Amino acid sequence: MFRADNLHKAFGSLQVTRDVSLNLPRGCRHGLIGPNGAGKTTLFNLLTGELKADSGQVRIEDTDVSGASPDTRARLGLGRSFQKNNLFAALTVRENLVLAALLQQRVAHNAWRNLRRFKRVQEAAEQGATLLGLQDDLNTVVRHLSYGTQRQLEIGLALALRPKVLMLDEPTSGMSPEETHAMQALIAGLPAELTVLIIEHDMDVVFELAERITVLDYGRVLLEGTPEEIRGSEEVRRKYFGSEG
Amino acid sequence: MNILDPTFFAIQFLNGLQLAALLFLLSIGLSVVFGLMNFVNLAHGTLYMLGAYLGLTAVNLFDSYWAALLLAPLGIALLGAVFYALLLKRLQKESPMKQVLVTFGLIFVGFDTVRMVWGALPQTIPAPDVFAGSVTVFGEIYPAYRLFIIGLGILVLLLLYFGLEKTRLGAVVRAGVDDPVMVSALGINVDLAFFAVFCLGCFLAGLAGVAAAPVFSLFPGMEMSVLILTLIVVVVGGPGSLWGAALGSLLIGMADTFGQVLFPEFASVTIYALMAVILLLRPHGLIPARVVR
Amino acid sequence: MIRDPLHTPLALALTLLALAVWWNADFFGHELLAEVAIFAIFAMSLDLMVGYAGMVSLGHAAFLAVGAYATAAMTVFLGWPASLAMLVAVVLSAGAAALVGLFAVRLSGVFFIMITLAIGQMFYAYFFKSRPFGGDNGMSGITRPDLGILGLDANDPVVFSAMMLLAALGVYLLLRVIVRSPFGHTLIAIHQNENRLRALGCPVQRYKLAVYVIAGTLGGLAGSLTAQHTGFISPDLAFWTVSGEVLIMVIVGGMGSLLGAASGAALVILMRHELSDENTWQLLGLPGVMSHYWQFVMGIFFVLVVLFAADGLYGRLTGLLMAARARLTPNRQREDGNVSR
Repeated sequence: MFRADNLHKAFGSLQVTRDVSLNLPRGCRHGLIGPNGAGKTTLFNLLTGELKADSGQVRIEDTDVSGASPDTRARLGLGRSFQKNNLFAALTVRENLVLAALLQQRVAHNAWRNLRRFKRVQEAAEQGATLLGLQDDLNTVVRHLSYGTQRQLEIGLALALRPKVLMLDEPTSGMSPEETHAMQALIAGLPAELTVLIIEHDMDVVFELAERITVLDYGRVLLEGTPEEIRGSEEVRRKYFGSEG
Repeated sequence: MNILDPTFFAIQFLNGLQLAALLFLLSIGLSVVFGLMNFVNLAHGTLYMLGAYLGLTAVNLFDSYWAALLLAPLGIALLGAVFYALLLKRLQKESPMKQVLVTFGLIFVGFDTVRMVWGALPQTIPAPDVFAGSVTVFGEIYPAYRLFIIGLGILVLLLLYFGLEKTRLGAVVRAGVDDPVMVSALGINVDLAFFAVFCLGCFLAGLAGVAAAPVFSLFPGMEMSVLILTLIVVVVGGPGSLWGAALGSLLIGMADTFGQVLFPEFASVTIYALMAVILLLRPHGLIPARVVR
Repeated sequence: MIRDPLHTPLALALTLLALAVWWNADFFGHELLAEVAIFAIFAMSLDLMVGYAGMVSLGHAAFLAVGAYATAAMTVFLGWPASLAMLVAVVLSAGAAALVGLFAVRLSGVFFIMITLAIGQMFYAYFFKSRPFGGDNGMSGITRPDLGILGLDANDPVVFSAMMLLAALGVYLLLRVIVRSPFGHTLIAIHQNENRLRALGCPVQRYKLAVYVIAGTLGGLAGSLTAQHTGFISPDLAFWTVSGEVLIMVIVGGMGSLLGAASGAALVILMRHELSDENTWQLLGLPGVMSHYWQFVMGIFFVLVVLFAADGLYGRLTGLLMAARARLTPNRQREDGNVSR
C-alpha cells in the first residue's frame, strides 16, 4: 500500500541513497534504523517529497507520487511528524489542530465563511485534543507546553489529517523515560489499519513497536526482517553496535 | 547611431566601463555586507551621496580634488562606524523587513540633511587639473577624467583581490562568507572583522561619490537611482562575491549604457527584468560566494 | 480564533471619528480625508499580505500605479465613465498581480523583498519612459464617477470624501471576512511555519499567490481611486519609496490588524501633512522653515517606530490590554500581543 522501489539519490558525487526499496502493507508497523550517516533522513525526505529521488518510484496505494510535492503526498494520505518539534508555536493547541482539520476536510481555502461556523472542524480539533489528552490545554499557546507534550502534538497534527500512512521521525528524541513511555503508548494505540513507518534512534522503542525493520547502512538496505531476525544478525550487530561502540 | 560604427561603439564601451567602475565601488561594499552579515542596507546610496557632498566641502576648504578624494571617504567610513555601533549591531538579529525599513527611514534623513546643509540646487566638483582635459580615442575626443574612473575601479578591484587572498582579514572574510558558524566557533573575532568590512564598504561608497561627482551633478535624490542599480548589481553578481560584484557591475554598466542609447524605451525595464529573472533562477547570483548547499 | 480585544471598540471609535471629521471638515479637510481613506485601503491591502501571510513586499506601489494608469487611460483616451474604468482597472490590477505573483511567490524572506522591489521598479521604469502615458510628466484630466442618478456630484469634495470613506469601509469589511475565514487562519499559519503547513497538505504557493492577487487587486482599487481623487497621475505612484512608505504605515499601526493598518495610514498622512505646514512648527515655537525638512522628521520617526514599536500602536495597545486582563483573570494562559506572531 505504501512502497518505494529502487530509490537512488546523490548529492554531487556523494551517493546517499542506493537502490533502496521498501514495501509496507496496510496496517504494518515498520521500523527504519541505521547508524548516523546511514541516510535515514535522506530516505525519509525522499518518501515525504522534501527531496526528489534521482531515480526510483514512490507509491501510495496505486498512485505514483515520485514527482509529487510534499503537500500533494500529504493530501494523498501521507502524514508525517518531524524530528524537531515543528509546530505553529505562537498559536494555541486548538488553532494548531483546527488548521490540520481544515486541511483534512478540504475547506482551508474557504475565504468567505467565518471559521467559527465550521462546526465539524471545531469538533475534529477537540477530538484530536482528547485523543492526545490535551483537552484541558486547548487554549494554551503551544510554546508554553512542555517539550514532551509538544512532541505528542507533533504526532497529533499528523494524525489529524487522517492519514493512510504515518511517518514518524524519531518520535521519542529528547524525551525523558516517562515521556518516552507515554509516546510508546500513544504509538501502540494508533488505529490498526494505519500504516506506520518509524525512524528511531532508541532501539528498544523500535524493537517493541515494529513488526518489520529495515536496517540502512551507507545508503543501502543492509537487511530487512522481523525484530528477532535483526537482533540475531551478526552483520547488524557488527555494523551497528560495533562501529559506534 | 550605428552600433557597428567602431568609434561610436568604442565611446559607448568606455562609458559603460566607467559606469561599471562606479557601480563596482558602490556594490562591493553592499555586496559583502549582504553576503557576510545577511544585512541589506538601503542607505548605501545615501552614503554615496554624502560622500560626494563631503567631497564638495573638502574641495571648497582645501581647494584640492585629491584631498577630497581621500578625506570624504574617510568621513563616510567614520559615519559608517557610528552607524554600525548605533544601529547595525542591533539590527543584525532582526528580520530582513526591519533592516530594510530602518535603512529606508535613514534615506529620508540623509536626503533632508543634504538639503539643509548643501541646499537643493545641483552642484558639481570640477575634475582635477591632471585629468581635466581630453584624450583622443579612435579619433573622438574623450574626457580623460572618465578614464581615471575606470582606472580607479580596476585598481580597487585588484587591491581588494589581494587583500582578500593575502591578508588575515581577507581570510576571515572569505571563511565568514562560506560558513559563519564555523568561523565564530574557531574563536576568531568575527564582529571585529565585520566592523572593518562594513567601514571599508562605506569608505568605497564615499569614494564612488567623490569619483562620480565631476561626471554627474550633485543633487539631493542622486542616491535613489544609484541605490537600485547597486542592488541589481549585487543580486545579479551574487551577494558576498568579489568577482560577482565585478561581473555584475560590468553587465549592468554595459546594459544600461548601451540600452539607453539603443533602446531608450526599454533599457531600464530590461535591467529590472534581468534582476527578477536572476533572483528566480539563481538567487545566489551568477557567481555565488557561498557554496550552495 | 483571533485574540483581539481592541477590535470592536476601535472599529466604532474610528467610524465615529471619521464621521465627525467628515461632518466638520472644510474643503481641505475633505481632500485630506479622501486621501486618508484611499491610503487606508492601500495599507489594508498590503497588511493582508505582510501582516497575515508574512510576505513582506517592497513593490506594492506597482499595483497602485496599474490601477491609476488603467483608470487614466480609459477615462482620458477612451472617454469611458469613471465607474466602468474603475471596474476594468481593478480587473487589470488583478491580472497584473497574478502575473507578477506567479514569479514572486516562489521566493521568500529577503529574496521576496528584493524581487518585489525589482518588479515594482520595472513598472516604474516602464511608466516613466512610456510615451502614450505621458512619460515622466504623467497624465491629467481623469474624471470621477457620475452620481447624477443619486442627485450627487462626485466633484464636490464633501461627496467624494464620503465615497472614499464608504469604499474604505467596504474594503475593511471584505478583508475582515477574509481574515476570519479558514483561508485567513491558514495565512497566519503560512507566516508562522510554511514548511509544516506543506506537510499538512497545504499547497502553500497557491495560497500565497491568492493573497498576492487579492492584495494587488485592492491595491489597484486604491490606485484607481487616487487617480480619480487627484485627477492626475505620474510614474511616481509606482516608485519604490511609495511601497516603503505604505509598509511603514502598516507597521506604525500594527501588522496583522486591519484597523491598525488603516490607522497607520491616517497617522502617516496626517503627520506628513502637518509637518510640511509652517504653522505647525510655529505653533511648536520652532522656525517655520523646518516645514521644508519634514522628510527628516518622518525618517527619524520611521526608524524609531521600526526599532522600538515594531508591533505598532495597535499591537502595543492590545498588549497592554491583554496584560491587564491576564492580571484580572490569572488562569487564562493566553498570549500577549498580536495574532500573527
